[in-house]
Amino acid sequence: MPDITPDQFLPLTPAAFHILLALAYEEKHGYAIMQEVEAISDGQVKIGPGTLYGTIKRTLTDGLIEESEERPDPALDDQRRRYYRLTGRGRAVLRAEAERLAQLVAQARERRVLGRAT
Amino acid sequence: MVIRTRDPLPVSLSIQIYRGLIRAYPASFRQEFKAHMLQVFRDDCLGAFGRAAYGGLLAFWLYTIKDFLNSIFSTHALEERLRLEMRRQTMGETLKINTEALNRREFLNFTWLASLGFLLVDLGGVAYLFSMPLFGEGEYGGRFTLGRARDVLPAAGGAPVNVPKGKFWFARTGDDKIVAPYKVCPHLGCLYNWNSAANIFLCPCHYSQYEQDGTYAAGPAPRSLDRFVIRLLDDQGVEVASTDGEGNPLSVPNEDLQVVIDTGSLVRGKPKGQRYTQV
Repeated sequence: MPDITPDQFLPLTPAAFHILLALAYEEKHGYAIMQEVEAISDGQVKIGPGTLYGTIKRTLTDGLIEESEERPDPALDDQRRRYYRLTGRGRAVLRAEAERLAQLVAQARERRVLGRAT
Repeated sequence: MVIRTRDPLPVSLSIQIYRGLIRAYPASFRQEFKAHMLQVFRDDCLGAFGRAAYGGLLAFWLYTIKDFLNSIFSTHALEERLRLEMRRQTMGETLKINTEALNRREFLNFTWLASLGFLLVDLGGVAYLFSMPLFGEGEYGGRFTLGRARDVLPAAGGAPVNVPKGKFWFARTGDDKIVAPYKVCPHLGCLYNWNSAANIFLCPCHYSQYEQDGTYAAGPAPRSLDRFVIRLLDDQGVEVASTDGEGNPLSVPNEDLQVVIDTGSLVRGKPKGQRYTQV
């Protein structure tokens, strides 16, 4: 494939951003991603199975995440579950999106929409 | 298998229903993720049911339907895109075009989607019928177009006109004020009449009396006459003025306007002792 820059994938849908963010530390299976997304957003964002796997499929296709062959803890876990992790490209896209959002927040501060960070 | 016998019945029923819903996703998507989606659904459903029983299950389903509607089209779009890309690649190699007939599974999916489509069309049709006015023009409950104010207004201060079909009287209370009282006495439901000797509406049952504009005057009635909303329309059919929420007599600014009595909107008469605004 020709050069693919992370910017091509921006802006991410909210679901995609949350899912990539949920995978930032470690690989996870579907239900764990769902719970992590709820935790990250303080319960404000909930992703259902359709959105979850629809987004997983899209990010898999775009090469932002991949299935991992290894089970993080084989003893603890269920053989049937499939684990996903960020790819290098996925991490770059996640970072680019986070920077884009940070810039927006900075602009909001500039315009006094938000209070200054302390 | 995702379903286990030890799940509570509402949960296993929910899983069965969701299994049906999943059929609406594209075949290739289902093949890849169906088992995982069901598993996630079950985990979540058990959680919701465990936390808040049926209330939790209801909230969970509302949210699941929202998720379903949110994701169904985008997954179809994605699969379609992938299929086109793949076809473009293979077409580069061979020019064979795939013209397979429907298989059983695709046919069932089609049927499922079609029944969903018919259901939506039905609901749409019902919603449309319900949104139509219940009563037509000239039917009690609908609107009565009397004609231009110049032609239909009774003489100022003169005898009101009885319109039995619309169950109202039409009175001109001053130079340019009109009111359309409902023909039933608010006391016990008799039909009152206009008494031209005394210039009052007089109820024959218990002698409740009302002034020409429907204001309570005497007798056992608890309030003034109820009245219908009068609407004045210009030649384009645009409403220029209408009876206010208190039921005060409406002024007619211009005798070219069409007078329409809306028997679908009744304003209750004011309690006895309260007057209507007169100019």
